[in-house]
Amino acid sequence: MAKGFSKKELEKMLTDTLIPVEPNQDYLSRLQARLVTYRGRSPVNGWMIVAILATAALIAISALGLVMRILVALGGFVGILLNRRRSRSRVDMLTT
Amino acid sequence: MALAKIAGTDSEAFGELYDRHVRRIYNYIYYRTGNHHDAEDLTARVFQRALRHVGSFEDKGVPFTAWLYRIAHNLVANWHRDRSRRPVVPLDQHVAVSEIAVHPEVEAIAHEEQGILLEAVRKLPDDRQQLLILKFVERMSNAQIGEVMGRTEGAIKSLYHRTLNTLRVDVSELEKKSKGS
Repeated sequence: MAKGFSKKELEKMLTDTLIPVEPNQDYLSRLQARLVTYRGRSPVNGWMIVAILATAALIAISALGLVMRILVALGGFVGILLNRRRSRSRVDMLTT
Repeated sequence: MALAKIAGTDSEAFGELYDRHVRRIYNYIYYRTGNHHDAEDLTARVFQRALRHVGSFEDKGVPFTAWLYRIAHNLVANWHRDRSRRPVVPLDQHVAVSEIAVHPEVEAIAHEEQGILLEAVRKLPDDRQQLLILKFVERMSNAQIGEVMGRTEGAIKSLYHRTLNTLRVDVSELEKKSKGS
C-alpha cells in the first residue's frame, strides 16, 4: 500500500475489499420458513382467538359444575350428621 | 412497488420481496458488524420488523429498498450502541474477505492491506460507512444511495469525496502504526 496513494488507487482497493458475501443457504431457507410461520402465528388469526375463548368458557363451566356438586354433597353430608345428632339426643331424652 | 402493497396480507408477495432483498441487507449488515453471526441475527430482525409493518408501508418518495435499509441502519445503530457498553472482538472479520479473494496467489499481502482498509472504514462515522457499502458492495449509483440515505445526489457526491479524503489519511496512519509495531 503506497504511502500517498491516489483516489483511483483507493477506489480500486475499496472495490477489491468491499465485495459481496453470500449468506449461508440453510440460514436463508430457515429464515424464510420462520417468517411464514411467524405470519401464521400473528394475532390477526381470529379463529384461534375464538377457539381459545370457547375452550376457556367450557373449562370454566365444567369447573363450576364440579364445585356446585361438591357443595351439594357437603351440604347433604352435614345434614345427615345433624339428623343423626338430633335423633340421638331424642333417644337420650326418652330414656332419661 | 405493487408487491410491497400486497405483502402485508399475501405471504407469497412477502416471500418474493424477501428473495429480492435478503442478500443486499445481509451484505450491508455484515460489513457494518464485521461478523456473520450478528449479520444473521440482525438480518432476521430486519425482516421480522418489515413483516410487522409492511402493511402500513406507503411509497411517499421512499422506495421499499430504502425503507428496508433504514430499518437495517437503525438496528445496526442499536447494535453498536449496545456493543459499546460491553465490547467484544469479532473473530471472523477478515476471514470472509479472504475466503472470496479474487487472487489467491497474492492473498497474504492483500489480506493485510484489506485488513487495514476495513479497520479504517469501520472507524468512519455511520453515514460514511453506509455510503461506502452501498457504493462498493451494492454497486448503487449516487442517485440510488441518495434515495436510501434521504439526501440529494449532490450531497452524496460531496460526502463521497470527503469520505475518500478522510480514508486516505486514516489508512496511511494505520499503515504507519502497523509497520511501527
